[in-house]
Amino acid sequence: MLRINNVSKSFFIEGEQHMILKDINLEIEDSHSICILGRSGSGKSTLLSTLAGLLTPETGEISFDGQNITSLSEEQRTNFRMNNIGFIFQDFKLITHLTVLENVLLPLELKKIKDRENIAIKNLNNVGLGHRKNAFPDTLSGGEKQRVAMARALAINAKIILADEPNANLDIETGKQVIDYLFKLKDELGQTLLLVTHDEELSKRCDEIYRLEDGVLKKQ
Amino acid sequence: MNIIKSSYRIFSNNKIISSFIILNLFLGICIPLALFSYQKFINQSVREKGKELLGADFRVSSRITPRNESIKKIDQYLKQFGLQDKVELLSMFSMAVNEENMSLVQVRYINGNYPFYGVIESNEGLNISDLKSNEVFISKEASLKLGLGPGEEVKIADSSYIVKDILKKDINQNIQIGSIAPRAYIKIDPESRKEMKLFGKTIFYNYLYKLDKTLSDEDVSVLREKVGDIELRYKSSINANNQVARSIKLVLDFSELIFILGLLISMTSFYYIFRHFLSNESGNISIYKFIGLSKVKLLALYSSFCVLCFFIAVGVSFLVQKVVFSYLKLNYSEFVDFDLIQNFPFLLMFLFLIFILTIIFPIILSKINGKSYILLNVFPLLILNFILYLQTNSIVWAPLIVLGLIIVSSLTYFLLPHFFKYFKSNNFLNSLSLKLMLRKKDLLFSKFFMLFVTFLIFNLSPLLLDNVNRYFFTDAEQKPDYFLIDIQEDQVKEIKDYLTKNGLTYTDPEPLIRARLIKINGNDITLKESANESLEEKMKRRSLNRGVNLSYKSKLNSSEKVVSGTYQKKISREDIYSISLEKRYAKRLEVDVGDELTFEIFDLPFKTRVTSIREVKWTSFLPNFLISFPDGVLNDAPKTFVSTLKLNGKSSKDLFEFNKIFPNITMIDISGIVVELSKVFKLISIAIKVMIYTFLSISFVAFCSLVFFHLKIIKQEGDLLNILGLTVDKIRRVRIMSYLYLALPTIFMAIILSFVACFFLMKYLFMSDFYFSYHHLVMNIIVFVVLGFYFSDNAIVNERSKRI
Repeated sequence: MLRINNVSKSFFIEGEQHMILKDINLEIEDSHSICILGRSGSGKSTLLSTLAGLLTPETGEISFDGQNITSLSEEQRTNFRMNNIGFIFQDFKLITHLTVLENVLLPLELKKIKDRENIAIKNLNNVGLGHRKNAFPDTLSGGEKQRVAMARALAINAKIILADEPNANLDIETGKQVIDYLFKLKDELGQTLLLVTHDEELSKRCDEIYRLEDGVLKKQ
Repeated sequence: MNIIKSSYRIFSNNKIISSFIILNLFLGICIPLALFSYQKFINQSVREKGKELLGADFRVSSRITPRNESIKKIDQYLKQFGLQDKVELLSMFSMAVNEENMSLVQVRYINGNYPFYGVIESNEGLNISDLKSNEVFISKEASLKLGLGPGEEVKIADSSYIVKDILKKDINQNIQIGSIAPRAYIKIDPESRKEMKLFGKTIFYNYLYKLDKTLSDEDVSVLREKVGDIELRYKSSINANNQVARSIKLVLDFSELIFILGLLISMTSFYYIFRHFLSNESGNISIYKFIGLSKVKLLALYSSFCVLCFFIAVGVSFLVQKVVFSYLKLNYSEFVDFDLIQNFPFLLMFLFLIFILTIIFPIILSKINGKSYILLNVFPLLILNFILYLQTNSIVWAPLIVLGLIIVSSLTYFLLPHFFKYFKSNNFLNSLSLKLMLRKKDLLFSKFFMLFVTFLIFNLSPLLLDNVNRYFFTDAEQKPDYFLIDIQEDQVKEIKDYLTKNGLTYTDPEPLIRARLIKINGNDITLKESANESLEEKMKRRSLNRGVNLSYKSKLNSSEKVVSGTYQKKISREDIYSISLEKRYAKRLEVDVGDELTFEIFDLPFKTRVTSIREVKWTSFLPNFLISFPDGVLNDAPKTFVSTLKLNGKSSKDLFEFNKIFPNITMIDISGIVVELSKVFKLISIAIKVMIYTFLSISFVAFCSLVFFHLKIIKQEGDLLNILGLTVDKIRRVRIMSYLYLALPTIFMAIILSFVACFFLMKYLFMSDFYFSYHHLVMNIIVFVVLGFYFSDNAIVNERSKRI
């Protein structure tokens, strides 16, 4: 279970302190899917970064399966991410210098998982891209890139998938296909999904919906 | 949509990248453009100095009375070069007598308004045209020796003359040992002409021409062929002095090299930055396309941005040059006449603009259309070819350089990834480092090229500076003011004691013996003309048959260096004597170490073997000989000694005293010519140093641009790797490994090539010796390794993004 207790985060912008997250409280059951809705600049990405341990909250704590993430060192947080979290970004964030297969292999190599190449290929097949494994990201369409990113996130068998507007840079049809894949695989693998979007339709596919407004998280 | 306004918006929204583009354009194009004009100016200044040293644009000389027919042909040929004036100058060595004092003088009879350039002036500011038929100007040395002053009578040859004045300045000086003596100037008139006839063969005939256009070496060759008179010798002002001629060639060749390399480096850096800039602009380009901006307008928009950067760079360049040349004008008299606008190569600047546009067009088009436009790269190559043609003035070299570039670049582009694959590792992090480095062939090539050239230049430049300094400058304290000749053997010790006692610096007197070369490897050098002998062969035969000055010594002086073989200090027990030849003399004779030469010295044949070849630094102005015997062979031969003298602030009173004690010794004031030649060398040296420093600046900026923009790319990758679970330490390791994989083989190759390049530049361009200097090497390695580690480290620790 992922638990967020009284988490606050602020940034200094042009000398002024801006409160981005205000006393956020949230509990996510294993295998559940949660959607956080909000306008641009409402703090959705900051919340995801804080959950992933990329940012440290000023107050409050985040724990996963009883382990307090906020008290971990930078290196321990990195290891935590590597073992537990899969990311899907709106701009895909694939390493352009690596092939499709190498991109999916990368987190598996970091975790030193055995038989990693087969796992990577299996995950690519799951998203329908097994035949493009030796291609470079530059040669893929937007939908294909997002599916590679998905295969990368799911390949490590992460317990939590953090998806930051996964359909934002895709056309409606491709976006729908990608989201279908995401939910299908999530259901198959039983992972927890935390999805950030401003797409109301998409939010309806999740178990719970929250709205983030001016740093305050409210359940809908 | 207003393209100009929008391009300005792009410029102001991308201040850092725009600054880097401007800096690269400024250093890579505008500074070489400035150098081009500066080089033109230096070249012109050096040529002017050449004219001053000769006193004319062109000289024809002969040891015997020239044939009228030959002179007519020459006059006719020179009309196409804008023949303006011609002067006859006859010279001979004669004795000047004043009561009991005597001195050997070189009498120069002049008919006309000589010199056309430079100054021959007396203490009272008089020149040759002020002389009447019975008057003479005598040099300071002759006046000292003869004890003469203005208004007094002197007998030269069989005539009496009144000393009009003492010469103060005679730029048209000769510093060849064996053909120097104090000078006397007399106007040619029917009387003096009659008198000269009595001296017959001892007269040296010169015809000096003032022309609108200077003759090149090729023009002189054509004239030589046309006239076909082997007795005549020709000298154009560009070859007035060997050192000056070599210096002009050196500046031209060296500036071409800097120009081409500087251009290539800056353009590679510019290409790299512009690509990075367009990658950043991807989003904007998509939006422009989405809102319906045509491809032509998009091309125009991003081209306008580049044009804007180019003109800002040109403007900055003008301002900087204005400041630099104002400073130079204030501090160096050579730059007083420099006019920036007049010398600026506007045509070349325009070509550079087109060159840049042809470079960016394929990049922009490929970004807009998502396709590759390799064939469009033909256009920048064509423009480059034209620019190189303008710079080298050769229809052979320009395309050859471009072709060479294409071949080397293509080979490097395709072979480089294969080369680095040899570093393949099973370690995940090392393998990731290599993968990150090897993907994207064009980026790898740009990075390799930039690093390679930067390392190369950072090693080559200090090496060259060191070598150039050694080549051009002799310790100022060593440069002499006077040559002392005709020193007798029994006077050597006495003179040395006198000079030491009076605080005058001198070089150890060296013996001078006259000789004639009679055999090369046992073959007689015949005076007889053989059938079907070409003009060149005739001239070579005659040049070999001249008398030569030789010397003997047990150790070389500071301006000599053995470049081949071993210098035999002492006489060996063999029946054949060892000798050392000056490098260019050996080349002229076409002999090397091991060859045998036979000399006739006072009617006795001396069979010798060349055991060493010496390189002589002629810019030292120290006495040097083409042929040097070991100590002990010629010690009993009749000889005189030569030495040099430095006044060290003493006045001519001390010289008068010296002359009274040693009346037989001839003193030749060479301080004037030494000063003039030193000015030329200073100009050349400044030019070369400025070029080297410019080159260094271009490379440094290019290197910083590379590192800066490379960091931006790897930063994004670093962030992602960290999100995916790679710790900061591991990312740092990946970065360092990636840098080392590329930098270490590159630096190694660059250092090796820098030494090879410097060696060949010194040997074939400067015609000088290569001095190995390792401390620059050590310094550069440390700087680059530290810099590489710093940048690899800095990219991760300080710039890692903290948000998704």
